[in-house]
Amino acid sequence: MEKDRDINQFAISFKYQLLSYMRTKRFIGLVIFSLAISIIETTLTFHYEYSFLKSENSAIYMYNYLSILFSTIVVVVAAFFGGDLISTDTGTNSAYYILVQPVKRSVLFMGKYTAALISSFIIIFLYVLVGYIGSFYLYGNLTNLAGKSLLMTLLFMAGTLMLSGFLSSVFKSSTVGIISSISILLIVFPLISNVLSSLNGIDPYFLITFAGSASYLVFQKPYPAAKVVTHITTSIKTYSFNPTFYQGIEVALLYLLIFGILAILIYSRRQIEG
Amino acid sequence: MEISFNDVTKNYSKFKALDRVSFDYNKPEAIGYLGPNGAGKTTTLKVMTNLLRPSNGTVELNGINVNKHPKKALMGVGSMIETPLPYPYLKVRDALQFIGELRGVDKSTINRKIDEYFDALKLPPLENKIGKLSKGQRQRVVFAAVLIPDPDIVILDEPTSGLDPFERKIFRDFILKLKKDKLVFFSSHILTEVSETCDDVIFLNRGKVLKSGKVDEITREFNTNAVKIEFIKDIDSNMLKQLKSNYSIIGVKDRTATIKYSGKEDERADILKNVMNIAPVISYESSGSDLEEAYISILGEK
Repeated sequence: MEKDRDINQFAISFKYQLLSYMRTKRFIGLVIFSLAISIIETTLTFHYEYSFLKSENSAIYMYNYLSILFSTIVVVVAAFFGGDLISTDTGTNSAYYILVQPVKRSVLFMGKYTAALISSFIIIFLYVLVGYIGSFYLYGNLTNLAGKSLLMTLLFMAGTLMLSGFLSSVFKSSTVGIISSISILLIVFPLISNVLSSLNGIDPYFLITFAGSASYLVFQKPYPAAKVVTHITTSIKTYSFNPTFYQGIEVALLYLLIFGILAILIYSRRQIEG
Repeated sequence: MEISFNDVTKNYSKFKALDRVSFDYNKPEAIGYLGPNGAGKTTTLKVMTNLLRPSNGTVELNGINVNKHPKKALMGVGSMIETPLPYPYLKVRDALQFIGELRGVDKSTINRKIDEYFDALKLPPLENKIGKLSKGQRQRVVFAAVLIPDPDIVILDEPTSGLDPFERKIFRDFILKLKKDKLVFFSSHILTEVSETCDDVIFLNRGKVLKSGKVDEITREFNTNAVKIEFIKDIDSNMLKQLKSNYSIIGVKDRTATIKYSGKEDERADILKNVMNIAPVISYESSGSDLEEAYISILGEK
């Protein structure tokens, strides 16, 4: 077997990138951030809603726990790991170490992306894990919907990370990539989602931040309706939308595919002008 | 081993960074690539390693078009362009193993070579993180990474720029070793380094190759056949009038005079004999017979 085959080079790129990520202050900082938020959230919930929660079940607890800050944490982590995924190679002198090697840029990208996804998922999983621990503490068990939720979480993370990775291929600066990722995912998408859904009655199913909410909606029984119309008066109506579980999966996969292809194309074509 | 540039032009919007550059080298030797800042040296090396695509023309490494088939073409090539930065959170050993493994070198060979270069290149401690290294230490680590896969072609971009004399010597000695069985192509500003290590030189300015050839031939061509004399005291041109008319005085400054002659050894001896009558001589040496003279003649007036 030739050692310079794409699959081997992917594994090597992944291995060393993961090693590098694990040693960054960013990874350690986000682990601390994620744990701190989850512990504070759990402590406050237990303090103020203990008797209510005690009378419910694991699924309701997990829904309440994740619906508060889960999407925000996923977005922040994705922005920090994806926002400079490509620009560290194309916008810094790392280009002269990495891009002159006999390896396809698409292979390097896939290795880096997979390492970033695993690093991000570790952080998110720690946040979710504190929720699981809370559930065990309250009920002595964990809802069997946790697996479904975790699958959606992984896909939500993967799609969001890929969108950030794409943005990092557009901008040369890492900082601009990270800031634009946070702005788009944390401000622009939710704004569009609210304007389209509540005011105009349009289903914002195509926004990953909207689709990602399926990660905790799965804990609701029954699964909430896709469209809810509330009549305030006979002439004024408000709308609210929920992604279906499969819609969530489809949108996340589409983001992964579309922005993955675009990111690879830009990365492969990028010239290092210095 | 072969580097072949065929009529390569590189435009940055309206600016022509390379203008129909052509050359071909295909045997173990060292080639110096000389030119002032902004001449297009780094652009050439970037095009050579597929960091840039040429606007026109083709670049082949070992007969393979590097811009069409970069993976295949770069297989036998090691390069150090600008100031490469391995991922800062990797340790020195990781950074070297990363490149070695990526290029298909087996782990035992990588470790053996790391040990070898640790001494030969005076590498920093292998457990240090890249981000904590000085520029010189980082350059040596990158150079070790270039050498680990044992490439046929080594491309270096001003490898000793900004390094201390000790680090420069390491690089110079390595280039002398490498050129015995590899094609070494490097750009440099340090002419003594080029004249000591290179067999061929290319002079580039404003993206155009102005001259290329063997170092000794070019040096001879631009030899001004002059001697530089340092007297024990200050002198002026009048004091040198007693010299024969077939010598011309190029310059006189303080205690030093530079005198041009035909190049014959008896004339050189005659000058020495005569100037000793003017004032005691402290030093007497050839001037204008090095690469610097050629550099100034070729590039200075362009």
